[in-house]
Amino acid sequence: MTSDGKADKSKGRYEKIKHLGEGQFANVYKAKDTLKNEIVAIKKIKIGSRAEAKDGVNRTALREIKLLQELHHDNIIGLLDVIGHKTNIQLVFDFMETDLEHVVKDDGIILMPGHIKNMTLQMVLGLEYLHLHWILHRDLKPNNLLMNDRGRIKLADFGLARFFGSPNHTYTHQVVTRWYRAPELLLGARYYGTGVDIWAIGCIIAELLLRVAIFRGESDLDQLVKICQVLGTPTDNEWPGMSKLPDYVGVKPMPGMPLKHVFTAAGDDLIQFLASCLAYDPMKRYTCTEALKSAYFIREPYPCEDSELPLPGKRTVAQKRRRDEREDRSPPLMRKRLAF
Amino acid sequence: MWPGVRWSAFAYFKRFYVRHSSMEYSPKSVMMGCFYLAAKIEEFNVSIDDFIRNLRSGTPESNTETILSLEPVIMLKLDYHLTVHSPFRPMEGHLIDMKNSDCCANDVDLECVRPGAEKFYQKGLVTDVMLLFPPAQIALAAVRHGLLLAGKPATIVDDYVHSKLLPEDATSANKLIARLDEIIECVERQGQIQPQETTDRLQTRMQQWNKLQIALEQRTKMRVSGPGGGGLAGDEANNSDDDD
Repeated sequence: MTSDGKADKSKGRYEKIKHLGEGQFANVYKAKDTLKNEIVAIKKIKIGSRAEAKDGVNRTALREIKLLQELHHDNIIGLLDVIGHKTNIQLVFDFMETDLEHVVKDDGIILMPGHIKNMTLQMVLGLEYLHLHWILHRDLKPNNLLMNDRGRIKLADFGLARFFGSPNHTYTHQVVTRWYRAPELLLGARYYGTGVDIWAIGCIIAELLLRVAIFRGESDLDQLVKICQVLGTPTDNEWPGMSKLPDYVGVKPMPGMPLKHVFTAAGDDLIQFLASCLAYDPMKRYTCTEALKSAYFIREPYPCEDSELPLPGKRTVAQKRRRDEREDRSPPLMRKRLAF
Repeated sequence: MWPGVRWSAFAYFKRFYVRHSSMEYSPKSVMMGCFYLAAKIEEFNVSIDDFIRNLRSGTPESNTETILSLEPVIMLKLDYHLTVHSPFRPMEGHLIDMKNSDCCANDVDLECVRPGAEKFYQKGLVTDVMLLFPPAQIALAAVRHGLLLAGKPATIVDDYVHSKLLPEDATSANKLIARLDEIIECVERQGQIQPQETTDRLQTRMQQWNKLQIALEQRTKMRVSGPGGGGLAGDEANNSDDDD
């Protein structure tokens, strides 16, 4: 009864503004909520014909609905409404201006240590909330970290997320976009935990610093090699139990390099923070709560205000001037390094 | 199929009929739909083909059609609230916590509660307990019930509850313990398995109704096409009387 009433009410509530993109199983639109006078994003899920959607409503969509209905946090994308029609299901989300992938790729943006600390803080706060509610995101990457015009960052795309912590359920290791995939997943672990998300966070922070993904593997095996090239090949001592993982392969011993040399501009706190996110042994990796208590967040420089975060194509005047001054003096790569 | 799937399916089913009458949607179809949706939501991966292979009635095609066309309807009627918090996880938590606290006498192996708890959940499925009480409390009641069935003192749970709360909160602890009794009572009262003859009687009645419905439809058709028919009137009258 109530649900029918709601469906009627929401009929004329949202006015489509423009088509934003098409995904594998959904179309995304920018729309206006005429009731609250807000801009929203609408994800229209195709139910499709029997031949297309053989098993009914798409599982990815179901995961998003079931989890986001339960989650309410400022750093998690808000599912504002679900509208059911005969032929499709529409999910109404907070409208987000951009994502961190765009930020990273925009050469016009210079990320200051305060910016990075703010972004890291927002990511970890959102992730802590998820983990405390026994949910793994399993697909963290810059592209899934959305930012609105007020500089608020929200974790999005819960298509791979699921509850964790039931010891008798095994999980597939084929999760997380390869470049952000933790070593235990690459070695085929069927039991894993919050460490997989923390590893991804480490990769994302590294990417904010380097402005390019840190481990760019071309295959799963190559991914492992790329990791070892930077962090050194793990020893059994460093990661007990490693060789017992189902798809274990030995990578030839490599010394790795000190993180201080990889991230020349990062302070010691941040280096230590990164090292704890990128620890080989998942048990030794940070939990979100530990990460939030780390020296990195306690010491200066403090995170900037959300409003100071740069948006692609909307740089603050001060930043623009600084960039113009540097423009011709140093090659691009050096410029990025110097910015920290 | 792990127990969480069944629990979710029953929760969907009950919530669905909070808003609808069984005259509007056939309970049998809705039950199938709820099970299929629950399996997907609980990440129990089974394809529609495998799912319908386990159904005893209907043709594969008609079952597939029924289930898949009901899926979005069920989701809508549930207001898209698809996560069901079942008592199974909380129970593991309670057991771990109880094993680690010293309130539990060392000579009792808490694993002994499992068979009893399982029966308790099984019974609980058909009751209103999942609509009335929070899952963690149902879980604690299951532990208490399991202890009793295993011939162990249920006071282990009471002591545990008291040990978790401050002495000043003894009243809340006692309230909670009383609540557990309430839950067990609810499951025992509503979870009575119907004796075979009752189910048989219901089955027969159901079949009669089905036949009647078909007859009625036929008669309606005959009425439309022209006067006549009505030969089944006697049967119908009998059945309607039964219904009162």
